[in-house]
Amino acid sequence: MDASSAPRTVSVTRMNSGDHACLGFDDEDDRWELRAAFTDIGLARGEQVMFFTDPETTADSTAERLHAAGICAEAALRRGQLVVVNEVPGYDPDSGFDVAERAQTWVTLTDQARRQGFSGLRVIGDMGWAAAPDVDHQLLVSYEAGLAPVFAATGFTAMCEYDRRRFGAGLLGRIRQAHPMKVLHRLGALDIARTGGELRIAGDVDLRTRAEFGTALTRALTGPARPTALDLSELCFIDVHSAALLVRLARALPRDEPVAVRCRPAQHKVIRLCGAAEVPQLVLAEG
Amino acid sequence: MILNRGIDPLELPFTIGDLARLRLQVTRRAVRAGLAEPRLSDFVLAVHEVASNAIVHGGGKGHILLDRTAEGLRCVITDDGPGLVPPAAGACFDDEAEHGRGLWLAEALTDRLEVTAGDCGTTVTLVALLP
Repeated sequence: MDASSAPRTVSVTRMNSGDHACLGFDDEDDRWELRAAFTDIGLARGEQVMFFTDPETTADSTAERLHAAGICAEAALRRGQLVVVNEVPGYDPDSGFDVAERAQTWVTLTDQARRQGFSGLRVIGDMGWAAAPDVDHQLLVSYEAGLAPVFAATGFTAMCEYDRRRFGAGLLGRIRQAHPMKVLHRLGALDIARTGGELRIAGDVDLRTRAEFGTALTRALTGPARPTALDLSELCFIDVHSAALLVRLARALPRDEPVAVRCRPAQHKVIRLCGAAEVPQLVLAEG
Repeated sequence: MILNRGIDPLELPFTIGDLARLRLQVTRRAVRAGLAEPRLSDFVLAVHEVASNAIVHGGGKGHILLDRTAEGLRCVITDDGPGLVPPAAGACFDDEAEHGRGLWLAEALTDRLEVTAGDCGTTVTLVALLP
């Protein structure tokens, strides 16, 4: 698997219209926090938000969970912008998994949402049903991989939830590869990945994740085979402490071996405020 | 532009595990109150730095109250610690003084920042004026 086809790791807060992401979760509270953030973005953008969940997750219990996260879910339910569905499109324990029917459901529902005046459809899909022994896992992986045209054409956004406790690591790895994106498992989590000469950091750097960030960045910028670029374009937050560490580490680099840092405007500003302009080895760009 | 948009106040205790959630909740309310980029990110960073400071120097926890007032978007963070006075602008920071830098930046990035240190803890008030 080369780097270009590997799924891009993102924070749930960065999921835009047309994105198709896989979430591997193992904690219900973390899962609901991600669901709440995903829902909040959709409601704010005028999308219809549909939960396709297990039968135990009712509209009432969903509203309660979302309300606890600060979202006015009751009002959204009443106006039909938030919908909780306990059926699984394209799967029936008697007749099995119908890939075409499931894919067609998303197209139909997106059209329907648009006709109702919503700007698109945002779906949270509990994939627990796919852990049933009669579901062909190869079919499941090709279904996920084959959805690209649905997403490209309709402005449909989906987060597919896979319980890490029910899907084996090998299968989950293949399922992840079939998605263009992978959602960080917890709000505020950090992901650091090295690809060739580039170090890619996604998520949030704050008090909770600063040790992980500090260790990885120090090792990368002071050790052998130093990366020439830091891709921070999926970094959603960096605090002053860690931005200052980045500037200090860059300052210690040889003058003729700069590091290029690509980040979003808010992070660009924090790094600048921590003295980046005085460090020629730090080549900072927005992007 | 709709002026004087009210928001549901945010009031809750927090510890280190709540910081990401706190930033999201503050962002959500600040957007509803009418704060836009780049001041939105400035305000969230300022609140975050003060909240982190409360955790590090205020016994591992703090309390936040965010509301819209006549002055603007106002955030009050309290903790049980002795408090730190923001250093003067242009002060130098060594590696161990990052919390000072954070607080100084928080002051630079908001329209008003006030620190009150008492026997029972520290209260920091941050205000962003609204359009």
